Amino acid sequence: MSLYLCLALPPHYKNTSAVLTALSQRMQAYTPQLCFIQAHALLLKLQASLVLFGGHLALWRRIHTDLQAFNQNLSAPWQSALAPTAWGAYLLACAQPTHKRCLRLSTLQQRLDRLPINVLALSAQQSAWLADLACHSLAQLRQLPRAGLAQRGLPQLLQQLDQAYGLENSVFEWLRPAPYFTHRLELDFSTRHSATLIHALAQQIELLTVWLQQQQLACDQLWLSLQHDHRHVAPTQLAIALSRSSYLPSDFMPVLSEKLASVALAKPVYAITLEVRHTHERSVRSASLLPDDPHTLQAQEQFLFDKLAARLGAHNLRYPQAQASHIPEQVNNWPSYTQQRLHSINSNNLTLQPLRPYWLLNPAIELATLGHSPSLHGQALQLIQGPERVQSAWWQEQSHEARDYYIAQDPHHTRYWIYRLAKQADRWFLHGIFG
Amino acid sequence: MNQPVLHPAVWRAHQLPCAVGNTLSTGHPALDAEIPGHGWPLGALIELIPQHSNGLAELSLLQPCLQALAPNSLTILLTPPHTPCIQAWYHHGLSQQRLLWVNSDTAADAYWAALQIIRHHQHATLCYWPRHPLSYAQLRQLHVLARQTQNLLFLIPHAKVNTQSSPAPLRLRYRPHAANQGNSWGLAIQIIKGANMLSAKELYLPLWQAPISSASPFSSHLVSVPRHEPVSVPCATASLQKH
Repeated sequence: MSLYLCLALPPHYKNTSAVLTALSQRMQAYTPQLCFIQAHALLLKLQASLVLFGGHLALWRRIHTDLQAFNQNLSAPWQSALAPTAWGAYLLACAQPTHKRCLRLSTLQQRLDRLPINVLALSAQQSAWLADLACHSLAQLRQLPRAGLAQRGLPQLLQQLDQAYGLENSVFEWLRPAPYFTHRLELDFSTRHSATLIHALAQQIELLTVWLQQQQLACDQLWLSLQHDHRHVAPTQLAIALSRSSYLPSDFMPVLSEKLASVALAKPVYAITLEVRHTHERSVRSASLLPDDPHTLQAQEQFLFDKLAARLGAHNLRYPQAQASHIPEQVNNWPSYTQQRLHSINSNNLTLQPLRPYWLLNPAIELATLGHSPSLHGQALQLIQGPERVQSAWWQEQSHEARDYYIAQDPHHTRYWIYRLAKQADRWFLHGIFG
Repeated sequence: MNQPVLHPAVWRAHQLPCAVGNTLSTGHPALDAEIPGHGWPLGALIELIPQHSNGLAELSLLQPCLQALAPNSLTILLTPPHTPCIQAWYHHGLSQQRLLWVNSDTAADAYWAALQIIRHHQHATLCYWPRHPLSYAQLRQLHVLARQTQNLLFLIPHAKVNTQSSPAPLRLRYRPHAANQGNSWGLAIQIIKGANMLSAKELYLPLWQAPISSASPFSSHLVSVPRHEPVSVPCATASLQKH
């Protein structure tokens, strides 16, 4: 037993193909088996989705609510029909009045019998000839001898009728989802307002999640291209990276809204293109019964870092990654955070370190001298602790630098870390502050 | 007739202030004795106000407490005045923490980041150095958000906010100080708000002792550098004391 739903527009409605393509992307949330039975009608096979959506009536209502939401701005005159055969659904949908349902083959056959023959796509000559024969309804057409009809140039119609009445099986090639996702949405008016852009983007993200759901994929990078009104202004490109593979709208939307809120748009935007270039297999997410599960905590932390990176910029979030070196400013390496797990400082594998100040000044500031002692802000610094020699690259003549580091204290008792070069003993540099 | 028993969070005027909630020992026994609750209150806004300018000696003050935290806990430095130095964190025994340095271009973004961090994390340590003074409402928002979590929230504003009122339950003013003819260096702490209001004395917390062997602090020829060990402060284990 099978169940088909056909959604049709009148044949001469404008812009049919674009509307139907957009609707087909939306309807892919209900069933993977969709096709365009004719250029102006969309066919869905619903037999496999009945259990998931709770019966044909619930599914019918749900699809119609979705259709009305989709139809808000278009107000297109949709006609729909539910039938056990595909061509039967199509023929019922093409006839007036709209929105019919029938579940049994016998009911379908009775309804089809009553339809006028103009639901079939006949040429003017053929319809005139049938009218001359006083053949006005499908029942009368079926009573005519088949061999004669086939001879007079209507074999496809006979096959269509047989399939509609359930006497033959029909085979369709279902639409396959595109291998990559690109969606362009044109806004009704060009705007710089981030709230409007986020609202438009939410619709695109829904389509993206439907596409990901069909192929059971997940992605972790999105590319947005915002096109501006002025022809000579290049579109703004934004790349949004997420730390974990996401496939739900709630994974994408917070980071996207933060990113859009922080981007300064010079010109108004009139179209948004959303593109996904790399996808990967979806891994199963398991929820834990306990709230303190380390995986949940880590996911929450990475979500927080994603939000911070989206608003502040990835270059403003830094984690410590020390490089093995003798020179203090080379050891102090802080690369930008790039959606990875944050490890403890221990993972740098540094050996035991000598005393260092908590804050380093990069680059070191040269100090003025009062007499022979270094001074900061006009106050002489008193040297507290003896020199610590730090040398680097002694095997190279050019970059060989030997520094003598001292701990100095100013009259406010603040401690500084200053150094002077071994070769030029009269220049003092401030390199760090003891915090 | 029995006295009606009030909830401990309700403060009666004749009581000394006491902390509500968990506290974490500061690691300095003298400071522990003065602060209500005997430690830094978790989930509350703590202000550390420098005397002269900031960036001086807060981390040394917090070092014993940070050392006692669980390994792999997160510490976030939000818009610090200078670049942090990884070697110092290693040297002072804080290398099992996870550290993140967050900068921001505008003060509003930094405040937003502070709110997000408190909202989305339960056991983090946040040290925030705001570039511009925060208003009372903003401080109150930070405190209210922190109340629902167990985060350690330290705010180190500029020296001039000393005279402004703030909703933080604990406010300390500190300055570096050397005592004993330079043989000992530490912080002089004055608790502005949160402790027994009658005493305004300054506490001295020694953080560094000069090695006894070196006679003069500065000699012109090379001497072997004495190993500078941090003062072994008897820091209590991270046992949370519930009040």
